[in-house]
Amino acid sequence: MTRGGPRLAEAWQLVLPLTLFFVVFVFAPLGLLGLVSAYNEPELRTMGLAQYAKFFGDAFNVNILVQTLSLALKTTLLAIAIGYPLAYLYTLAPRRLQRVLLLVIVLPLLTSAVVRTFAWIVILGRLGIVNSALQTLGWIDAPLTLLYTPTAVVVALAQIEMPLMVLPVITALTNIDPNLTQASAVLGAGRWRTFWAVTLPLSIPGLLAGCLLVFAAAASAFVTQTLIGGGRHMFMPVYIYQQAIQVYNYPFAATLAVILLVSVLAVVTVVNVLGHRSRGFVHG
Amino acid sequence: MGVTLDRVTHRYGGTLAVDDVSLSVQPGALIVLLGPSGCGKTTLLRIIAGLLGQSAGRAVIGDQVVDALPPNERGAGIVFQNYALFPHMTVAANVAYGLRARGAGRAAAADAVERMLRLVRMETLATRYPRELSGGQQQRVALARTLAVSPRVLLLDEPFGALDKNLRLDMQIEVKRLQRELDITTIMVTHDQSEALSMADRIAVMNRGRIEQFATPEEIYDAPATPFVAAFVGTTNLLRGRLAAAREGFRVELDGGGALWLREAAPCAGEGEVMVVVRPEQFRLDPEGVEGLAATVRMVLPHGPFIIYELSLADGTALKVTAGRGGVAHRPGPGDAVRAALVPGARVPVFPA
Amino acid sequence: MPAGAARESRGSRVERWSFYAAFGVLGGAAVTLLAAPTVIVLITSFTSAYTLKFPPPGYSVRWYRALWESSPEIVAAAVLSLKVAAAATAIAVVLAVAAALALARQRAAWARILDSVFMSPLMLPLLALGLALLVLFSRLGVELSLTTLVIGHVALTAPYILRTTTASYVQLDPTLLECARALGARPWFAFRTVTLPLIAPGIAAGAFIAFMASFDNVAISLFLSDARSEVLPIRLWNIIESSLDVRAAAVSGVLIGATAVLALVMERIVGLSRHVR
Repeated sequence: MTRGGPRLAEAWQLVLPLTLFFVVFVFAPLGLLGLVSAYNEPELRTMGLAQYAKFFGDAFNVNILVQTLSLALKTTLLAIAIGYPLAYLYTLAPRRLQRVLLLVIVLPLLTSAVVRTFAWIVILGRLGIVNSALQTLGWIDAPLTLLYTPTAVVVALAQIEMPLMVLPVITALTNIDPNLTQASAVLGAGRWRTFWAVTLPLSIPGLLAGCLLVFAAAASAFVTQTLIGGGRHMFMPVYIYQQAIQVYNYPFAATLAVILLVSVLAVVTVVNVLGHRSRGFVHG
Repeated sequence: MGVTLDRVTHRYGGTLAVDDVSLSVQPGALIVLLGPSGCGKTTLLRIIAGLLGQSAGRAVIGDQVVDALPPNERGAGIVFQNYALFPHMTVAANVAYGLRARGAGRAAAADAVERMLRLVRMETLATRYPRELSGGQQQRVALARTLAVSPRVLLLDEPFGALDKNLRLDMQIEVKRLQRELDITTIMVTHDQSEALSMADRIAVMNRGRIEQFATPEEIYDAPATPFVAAFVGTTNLLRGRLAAAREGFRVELDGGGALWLREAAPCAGEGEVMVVVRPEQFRLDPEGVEGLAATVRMVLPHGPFIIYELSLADGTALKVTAGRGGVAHRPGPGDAVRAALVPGARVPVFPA
Repeated sequence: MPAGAARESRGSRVERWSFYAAFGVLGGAAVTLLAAPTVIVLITSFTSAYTLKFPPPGYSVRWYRALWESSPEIVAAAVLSLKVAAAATAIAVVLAVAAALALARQRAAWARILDSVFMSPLMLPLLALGLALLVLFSRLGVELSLTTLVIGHVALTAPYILRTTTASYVQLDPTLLECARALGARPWFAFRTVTLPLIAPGIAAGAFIAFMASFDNVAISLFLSDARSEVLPIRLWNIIESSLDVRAAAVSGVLIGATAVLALVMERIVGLSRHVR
């Protein structure tokens, strides 16, 4: 029963338009994608699992998937390392500063990935700030090639997707009953113990939510992977684009897309299941 | 260990939450801070616990001025209104928390936990989680957790507010028993006056950041120091009039008509405009209509073991009188003319108007 | 009896300081890392040189002028992006607000499932959806056009509006609506005069975020753009990849500036920061 909400009959009418839209323009296409991936040749003559066999049979292909998922994982871990302290700092700040901080955190999310990636090109380029600084300090003579390295992609992605980690953690931290940390203090626990024993465990649902968002975004970060990774490092997103738009091999491209989707979905599901178990404790 | 507050003041924004409060609590006593919401009682409690820093004045626990100590070093224990049990820890882990925080080993802590749980009669629920417990059980765990670290003073913030009526009485008895058994100085905050009257050794009635009176429950009830205390605790009739000295005492000419004779007038004994505070049970109805104030019965309200009569005096002033159920041969009804006289020996406070 | 003043133990003081120092340093570094790239781009956009050297050898507004005067294709791309974003957001608002009203207070399983489904574009690779739509349209024989592009963008914008509208609606006190009905208001009247004004800030915040997401989007646009029209992010990408033209810095500067201004305006009007968590 819903209080204040529309009756069931009305609810159906309200939700129908968006449902129809999603059926026609999200599910049907994705279903079609799955279907196309089940053709054996680019000309779409016979059906079969040849594309999947081709993918998993070639170490080059599997490696691309592994690189993509590993990139996403490393990015997530780095994002936790820099994002969590920022979220905690937010909770320590006075109210006015919190509003400013929130806008600073949200602004990157409102700007394009291209702009944010471009910033890293400026920073890591041969004429960029890192090379200038190192040369001024006298640590190197000639500029280093920092772009187009796997590390650069991880660092750039972690910074670019950081807000996606910070926001859910802020929500989780601010939802913790202040009486809990105060009770911990009066019982004799210092700041560090209160943090490890009370604050951190209770913020885990938010942390997991942030991890999911960052992982999914990093795996699909076409722009950053390509601009910073360069041609030398191939990831799934650019592979999909290449196969579809440049080689016109739609079945294979579709296969790649399905594999990427399923991989991300698998990770999301697993983490969600873990998240529900931990959520039970928080809402005690 | 006793607790002393010396001229404590706390300013919050532009308002004075606590205004120059001085209080001295004897070791082992259970005192209650009683007052309406916003009177500063919870603020005071938090100042003692160290969760809030006062703007002026000193807080002393035992013979130590504790102002410079953070909350984890004051040796106080606090139980919050919502119990604040750690939801992700079992009952046992909750109770052990303070001990582990102070460096106790697992075995030593486990022993103490068992002892504490037995003290609050929760030993069978040690492996449960807080969300599986009822309100009363959660409160007992909260108490056990706080008492496990042997605090010098126990602070309770509206502990029974979230419990329903029957459970409340049981928990009040339980807490009083524990407090006596452990002989621990306890300061309790509540807005429920019947709770305060039944549990406290002494009550500090607070209003707008100040303590209006700090005395035993009997004194608070029988000899309130200010009109606020008189009105806040118990039901009262506030009657205005003129005080004049008379043979064998004083006479108060009431604005509403009639007069009262008093043997003594306190705290105000000077002639002039005064306010007299008479409790409903200090009046008795004289059905013969000879002695006392002339009044008309407006309503008769049966109230369990006694009856409340709502009367009105000649000028319309309302008067509440309570009488026992039995004993009155003829019970007055609405519209009847009666006379209300003071019960002999009644102590009636007189305040300057 | 005179009372002595107790002092905080050394251990406690060290402990407290180390805690705040650690988080202060880490958090401060994180904020710097968060904001520095944007600041660096802004500074670079004012360079007088022809390269992206940092620090710039000199300052001038020549690149902004070049953008304004001699970059018709960039301006055209910007206009196209605005059109697509506006159209997609408008459609998404109608669809998503209706859905939010239906789902927000429902506890039934079907509602929870639908909610997850509608939010899925936020989580799953939009690239896959872009390709899928391309395949759909090509199988149906539909030519790529502004319309097909907008359709793709509606799928990506709807979740943002759904999220903020749902959050706003859930916070609305149901007693208000019950009172309105009890006073005799009919459902549409109650909605128009009670519900809508109170959830409008949430809808507006969601629409703003959705608009920006559409404007900035690359993944969907990459697959659904036709040869003639290019949206701004893709144009910018081309500039960066091909010539590393410093105009890219100016474009970035304009985008960052415009976004910041709009964000501040939205913060003022609807309290944007309240709707992002």
